[in-house]
Amino acid sequence: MSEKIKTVRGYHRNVTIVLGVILAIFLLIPTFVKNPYTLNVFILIFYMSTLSMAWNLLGGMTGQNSLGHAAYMGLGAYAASMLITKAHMNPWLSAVLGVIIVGLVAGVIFYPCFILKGPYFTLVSIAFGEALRQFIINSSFFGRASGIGLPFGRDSWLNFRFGSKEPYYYVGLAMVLLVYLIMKKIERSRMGYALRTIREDEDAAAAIGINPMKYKIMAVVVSAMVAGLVGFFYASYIRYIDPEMMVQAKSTESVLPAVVGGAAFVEGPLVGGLIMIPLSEFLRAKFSSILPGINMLMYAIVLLVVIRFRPAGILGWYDHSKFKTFIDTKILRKPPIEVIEEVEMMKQQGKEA
Amino acid sequence: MKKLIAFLGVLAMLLTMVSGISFAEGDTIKIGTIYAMSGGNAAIGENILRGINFAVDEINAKGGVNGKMLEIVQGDHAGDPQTGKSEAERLINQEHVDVIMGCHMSVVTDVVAQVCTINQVPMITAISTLDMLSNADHEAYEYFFRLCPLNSVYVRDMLQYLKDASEQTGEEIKKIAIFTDRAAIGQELIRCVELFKDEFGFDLVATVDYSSNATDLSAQVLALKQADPDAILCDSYIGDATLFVQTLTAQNYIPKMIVAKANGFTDPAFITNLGAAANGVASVVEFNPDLINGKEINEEFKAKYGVNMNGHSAESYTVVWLFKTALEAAGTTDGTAVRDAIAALEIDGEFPGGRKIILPYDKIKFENYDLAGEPHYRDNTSASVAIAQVQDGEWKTVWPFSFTDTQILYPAPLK
Repeated sequence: MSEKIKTVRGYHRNVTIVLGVILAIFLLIPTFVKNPYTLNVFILIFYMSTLSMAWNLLGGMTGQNSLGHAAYMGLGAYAASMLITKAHMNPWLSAVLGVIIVGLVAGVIFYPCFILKGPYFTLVSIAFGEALRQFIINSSFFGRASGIGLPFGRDSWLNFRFGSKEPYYYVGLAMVLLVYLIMKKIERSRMGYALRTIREDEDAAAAIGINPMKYKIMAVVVSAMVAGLVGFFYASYIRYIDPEMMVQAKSTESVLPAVVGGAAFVEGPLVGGLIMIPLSEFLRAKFSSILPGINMLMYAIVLLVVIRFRPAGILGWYDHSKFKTFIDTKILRKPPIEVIEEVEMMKQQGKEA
Repeated sequence: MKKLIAFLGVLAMLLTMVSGISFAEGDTIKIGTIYAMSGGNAAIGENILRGINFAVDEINAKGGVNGKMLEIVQGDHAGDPQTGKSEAERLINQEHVDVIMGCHMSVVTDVVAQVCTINQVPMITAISTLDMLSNADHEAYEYFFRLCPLNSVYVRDMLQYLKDASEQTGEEIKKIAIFTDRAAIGQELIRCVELFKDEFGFDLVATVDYSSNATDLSAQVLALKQADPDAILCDSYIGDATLFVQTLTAQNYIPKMIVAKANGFTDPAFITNLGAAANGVASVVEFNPDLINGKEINEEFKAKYGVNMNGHSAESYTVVWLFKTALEAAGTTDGTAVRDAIAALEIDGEFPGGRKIILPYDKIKFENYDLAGEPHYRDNTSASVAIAQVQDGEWKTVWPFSFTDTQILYPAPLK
């Protein structure tokens, strides 16, 4: 018996080591990579992947395909920017308030909308995004179509404003990690099981005592809040926002990393973001000056190929691949699943006793 | 297939990393350009690039700058500020460009100007007209200069034209109305008219707006008809501009003067779509082939590219010459030295070793000044626009009177 416990512990240790090494690599990148452009690509990866994780909570885990995430992101960016420029609030504080505002708005607006299912929810999310954009374009308080610029000035942590990339890199990395841990926690919690049950069959979920309405609202609110947080990061990084950031095409961009990486997995958006964003940047840098637009065509082809041949995404393929078996058995030394379950069971019993 | 996907992913990652390694500075002077080369505004980017290439070929044929040839490194912002920022960083850090030109949308210009200032790379925008780009919030953008007139200056010149037109038409303009898009372009027009109308003594009798890509404008035209202004100021995209003139003629309402703030009205499709109905519509132009100083260059340009030089090509052409003059004055490509040279630049009438200024003004100097009570920084204070009018299916410059011989067609016939 103790042999089994040992192997399971060994496995967990190996997983921790591998994750630690990956994290260490990301932490060390700025000390080796000094080129601001390359760091810029990493920062893009961080915030687009985070946005995609937000989408994935609704689209992947709950099965509610939203096409309005650019609007939540925009709302977060606007809320934070308005608080900074008009109320002269500290950016960090305005980020917290901005995220809460986005959560409230999403909860209130979507409460009545969740009577709708499937494609109707998607349509409402599109309409919501466009309505919000039009509202800002027509409101002089929000600067209409001209947008808002954040004050330009000396580097400062207090004002979250830097000329160099490193601070944005680390804050972006921290944001990805934080959101990833939250999503992982949700996935393993009661809420995660409820959301997946709703995704598979909403009526069945209701029949076994899960309140679909309650959980869907929770998912929308959390998802919107994360998107709002990304909006704050975006505004602080780009330092200029306008209603164009809420257009439909931007919402689609938030879906792509998740779909390419594997929407069924919490890690999907991270893997998808790591592949698709450098790819898009690379194609533009190398080809757009040769034949304008060709980069988008090539990007689209890659996307079509992935969707056609790996509809479950890259992680969906990896999950059943020999590569995974190899990594699990040879590198992580993962014991058979029965052994892990047995040890888990023993731990449970130990606690109860 | 598995291998292919994995390969593509790995390849993309590797190449991004590899392209991060910097290479040594070459023996050319690099001008980075950041315009929308793909997406909905690609046609505009193309016109701009023609103007730039024309100037670069001209300068290189005469021996280049400081003994080095000019080289263009193209970026593509695809109409998106985030992409604009990436591209600016790529051009500066990977391609090591010495100066930057851009962009076509003012929001993107703002973001790129920040990157340029942080990296101490001089930047001149040829065509970003939003006032805000040079206001008090942008005082610290020390490496950013603007050649083109501001939106306020466009509108001030439109009003000046209405005032001056009475010299030829014999009728004084008193009542004006605005017809425009609810989007950013329209908001700017309304704001600027409000800013200057009292100074000119005009009475704004109606402000009529609509949502972009309208399918019906009859209610708007009716509102204008009821307000009965002496002149209508407008700004629209091409579809709406066409529909507007069609609706005017359909309702048999012929305003005496229509003055547009370019955009859709100066799109080549405007005259093609409307034919004779476009006759009499006037618009702001930054350049027109019949301008006194523009005729010669336009012939050469047309021979080369098969199209007329337009405002965007002419302004971009001028910016390349400004860079050349500043680089020669600085004698180096050091960012700070070039920036100081641009700030000290004064072009009077013609470029040293080049042509006369082809735009409708005869001086270029970047200065800090006050406009309508607000401080502005590093704008070309002499910049102004011309007004052209469609006459016999062609744009003819009618104002400023010193740059043309053509008379104003009054009242606008719209047939």
